[in-house]
Amino acid sequence: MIQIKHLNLYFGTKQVLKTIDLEIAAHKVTALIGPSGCGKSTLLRTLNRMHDLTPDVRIEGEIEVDHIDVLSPQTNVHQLRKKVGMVFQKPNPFPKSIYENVAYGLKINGFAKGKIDEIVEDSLRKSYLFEEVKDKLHEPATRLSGGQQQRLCIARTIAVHPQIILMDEPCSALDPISTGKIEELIGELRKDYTIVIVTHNMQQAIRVSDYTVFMYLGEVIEFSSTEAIFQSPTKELTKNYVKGHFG
Amino acid sequence: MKPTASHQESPAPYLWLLAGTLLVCLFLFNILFFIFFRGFPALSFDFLIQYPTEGMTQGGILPAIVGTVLLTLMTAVVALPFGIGCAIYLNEYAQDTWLTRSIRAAIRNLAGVPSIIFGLFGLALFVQGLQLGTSLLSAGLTLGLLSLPYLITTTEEALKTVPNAMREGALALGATQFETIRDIVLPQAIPGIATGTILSLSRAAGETAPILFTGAAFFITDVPRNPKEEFMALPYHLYMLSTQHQSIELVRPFAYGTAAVLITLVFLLNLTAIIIRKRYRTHYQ
Repeated sequence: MIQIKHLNLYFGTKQVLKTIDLEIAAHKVTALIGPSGCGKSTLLRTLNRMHDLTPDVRIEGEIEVDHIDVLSPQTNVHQLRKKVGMVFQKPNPFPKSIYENVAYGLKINGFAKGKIDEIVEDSLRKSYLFEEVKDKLHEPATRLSGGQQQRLCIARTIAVHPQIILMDEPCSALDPISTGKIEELIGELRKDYTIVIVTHNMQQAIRVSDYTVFMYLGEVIEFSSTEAIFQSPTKELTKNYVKGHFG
Repeated sequence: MKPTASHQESPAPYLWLLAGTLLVCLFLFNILFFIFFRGFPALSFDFLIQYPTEGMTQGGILPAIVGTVLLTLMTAVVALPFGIGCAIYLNEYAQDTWLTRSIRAAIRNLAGVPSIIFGLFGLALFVQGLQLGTSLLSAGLTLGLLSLPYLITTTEEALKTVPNAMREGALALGATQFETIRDIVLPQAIPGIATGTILSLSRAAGETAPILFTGAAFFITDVPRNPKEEFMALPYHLYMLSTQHQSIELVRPFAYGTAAVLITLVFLLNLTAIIIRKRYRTHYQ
């Protein structure tokens, strides 16, 4: 689904990602783990070209998503981002109504009003939020709790029918109960989407992911099934990290 | 260990700050009281709706009020599209290069240029150079230029308060940068932009020097009917009644009355800014 070949990324003169080669499988959940500053979020944000607006970034190598050459300047980045959705670390609903939040991605794509209503409801159901908000669709989204806001951001993302959903530590700002709901939701979403999730929480990686990538200082140290990474890591560094010797 | 005397909160800094605040308020109230007290005899409904007569010793200040309102509108028409556009460009599109850094430095310095310099510039460029004559148009253009630095700075500040997470959220859905600015950034920045706009216009409305050579007239018997005509304006009328009139003592109440009307107009503009800000704040929370 996603092929990353010889990816190098520099912020100014500092190399943040070092010769990364990865193949991420379709309809699976792949977790990116590693200590702070290892480049896992940077790698994630390369996949939907969120670095475009950062000054002083240089990227080498190749990324292919569903036969699209992601890094090519000729690639329509807006089309790409509709295919590759993103959920951020802190819930970031727009200061609009709940309905408007989910409808926004559809409006800019010129969907008809009736169609939008249908997709909004469908997306809210898929993110387990509909029952909680069905009576207040036109109230400001900022009145929702943090966990609800994050599920709203997921609904907003799936409304535009992506194939891949990138999640950048989606639970780090949430309480354990909201986290549980999001993890349950990720379990449901894996049926329809390919999910790449960055997490600093190893228990979460074990709970939600099929594959795990362990990164350290900008390099991929080990990439295997989640079970293998946590039960029988082959590299010493991975073993020390997943056992909690450093982090 | 017992706390020593130096560990006690000393009242001195607090008293000093309080005294400063009270002093400032005292001056402000003093000025307001003085103007309204002295202007009171002249103030009446007729004063607002009549033309000046008998060498401005009788009648009202209608043309000056209308002139100032039209001039402020003209200033808004000139300054808003350029000022807001420039701020959006600087904050949303421009990279941090030597060029944008020097543009910003230029804007900051322009804000410090004395207004009489703007007046002379307007005279040279609009009145003489572009042959627009002394007119509402020339004066509006000059005041528009004067308002630009302030307008750009406040608009940029308003745009900066929109968290980057909002922009990223929209971009991640496939929105173009233009759509992101139009649909997500601007609606959130509007209270700040509106406040900055109104405050810069209310400042422009009170300016005398920039309109001195570019369009304000000593005395005309009518309100301007088109932008190429000259006009009367409240601050200039006030300046003139207090320094240039042949019988200053006689028109003194008129001068204070004019000052009171000008202050009230500016106050109303600022009040509008406060209301807009409050409206939006409750709307989004």
